[in-house]
Amino acid sequence: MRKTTRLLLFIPLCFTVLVAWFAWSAYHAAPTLAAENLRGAGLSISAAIEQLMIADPSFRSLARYTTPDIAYFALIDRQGVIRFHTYQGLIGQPFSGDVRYMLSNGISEQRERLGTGEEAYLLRTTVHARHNEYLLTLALHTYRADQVIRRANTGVTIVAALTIALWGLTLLTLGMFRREERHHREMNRREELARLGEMGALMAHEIRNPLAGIKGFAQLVETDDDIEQARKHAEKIVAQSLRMEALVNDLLAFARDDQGERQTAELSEVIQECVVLVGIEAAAQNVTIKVDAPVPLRAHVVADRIVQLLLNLMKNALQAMPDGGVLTIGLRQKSTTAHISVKDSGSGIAPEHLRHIFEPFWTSKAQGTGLGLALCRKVAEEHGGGLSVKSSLGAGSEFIVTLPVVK
Amino acid sequence: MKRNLLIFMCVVLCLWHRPASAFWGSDSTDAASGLDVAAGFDVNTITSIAGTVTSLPERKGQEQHTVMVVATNQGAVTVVLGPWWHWEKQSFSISKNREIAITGSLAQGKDGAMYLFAQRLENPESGETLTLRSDSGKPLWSRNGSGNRNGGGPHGGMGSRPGAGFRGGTRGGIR
Repeated sequence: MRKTTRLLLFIPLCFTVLVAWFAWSAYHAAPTLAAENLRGAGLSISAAIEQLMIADPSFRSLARYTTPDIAYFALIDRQGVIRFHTYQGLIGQPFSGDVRYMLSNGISEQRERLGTGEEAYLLRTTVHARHNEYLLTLALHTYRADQVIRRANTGVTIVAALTIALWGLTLLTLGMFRREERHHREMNRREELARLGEMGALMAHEIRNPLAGIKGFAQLVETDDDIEQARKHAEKIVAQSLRMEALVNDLLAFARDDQGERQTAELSEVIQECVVLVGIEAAAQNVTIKVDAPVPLRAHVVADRIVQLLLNLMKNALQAMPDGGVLTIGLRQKSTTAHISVKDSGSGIAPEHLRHIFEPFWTSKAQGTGLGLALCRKVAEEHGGGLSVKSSLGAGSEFIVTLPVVK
Repeated sequence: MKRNLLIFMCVVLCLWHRPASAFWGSDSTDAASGLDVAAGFDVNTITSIAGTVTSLPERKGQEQHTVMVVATNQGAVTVVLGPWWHWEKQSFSISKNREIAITGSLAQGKDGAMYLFAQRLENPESGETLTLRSDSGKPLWSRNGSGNRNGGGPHGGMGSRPGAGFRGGTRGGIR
């Protein structure tokens, strides 16, 4: 699973777990909270009723006592006679329950459905007035206390809806990502095929030219009686063969994926090695080489490949200065990256050519394979770095190789 | 992608199962109030109210019961007057914005509103009265108590005696 997909699933998953836990805890606590509220209200009302009973032994004042939460309440004496009821028609009526058992039972509470269908909270407790014991039956409306349960239910519903919406969006986004990815892969595949066709055509062209030369000179050798002349033709055949060999070697180097064994190398030493290798050619062209590498920098590289890269750049620079000039090789550290610059004082690269110079088989030279700079960039990227160019006509070009340094 | 979405929806549906119920509720329970509008009554909650009629009697719900709204000092009370077919036969005159006194069983619905299952109506101006239920709460529209599940009375059972009295005892008698 790709990183984006994992991230896209992980974030909603965390959110879902967090929100589900929050909703569940609120939902789980709501009935307990409602029960506590009802018990608190019931006990407060019981205490108030008991006070009124003590203050008024005739219980008449109880008829005026009311709160919005009370559905009804009744007082039953030990003989099972209803001494007070909020519905006065029931006062004096016998109570059919086991009052003595209920009195000895202390406080009892439960939710019960009344005859109207309403679910009420029923509290039975013992109250005292002037040395007499009464059973208080108190029924409370549960609507207000159940508000917390309703809120919790609404919360759970909203949270569930939001979570479903979130997951819907996540799956939709994932689907879009995957579709985009498929589209991208298809585009890449088509581009690769197009590039392959283009490269095939270019290679055929590159091979056909020397091959035509070889064929022509071989036909001449076949028919020529003059051995000296035939030798000259054979030399041409060898030259064309070498050109083809160079093309094939560059192609192989470009296509090669194996990077060899990496070692920590001193970059200034690698530069010096390259300078020595191009020194004679530079002197022959009257080019002065300046090396500006003030600090030692080390990188984890395949030294041969970096030498190949720098040599390519330096040879290109020399070719850009046929009438002499200055080739400056710089080495600097910027943050965690080494910057190796190869700067010439040649004629520079035309702006319209700049964007093509790293493309395989693109060349402005008559004899080039067009793989040199593409190979250089590939090598730099294989090492976790890059290759860029700055150039202006008449002022020369500067190629900058970046490589991660080793501390 | 579609398969994942279907699996996810199935999981949600499995986790979110609830007991099936018709949208109008079960039995004679009113969906909005959760009260038994056809047969509900409880002697314990009998009370009297007085107020102004704000809404004239009208048919309502699956049970075709009759309701009107009365504004009292304690707020609006929905008065349940029994089945519409019975109410239609009554000659008791009710006018909007006129005073009325009603005795009946008071209950609070799950919608938070107060409902009064009317037992007796009185017009304070004319002195006209209409009795819809007996003192014990037995509806007059039911013959010999058949169809009346609100019978019983103060002896209608304790919480420890399920099955006796009003709607099975525990719902009508003194608890």
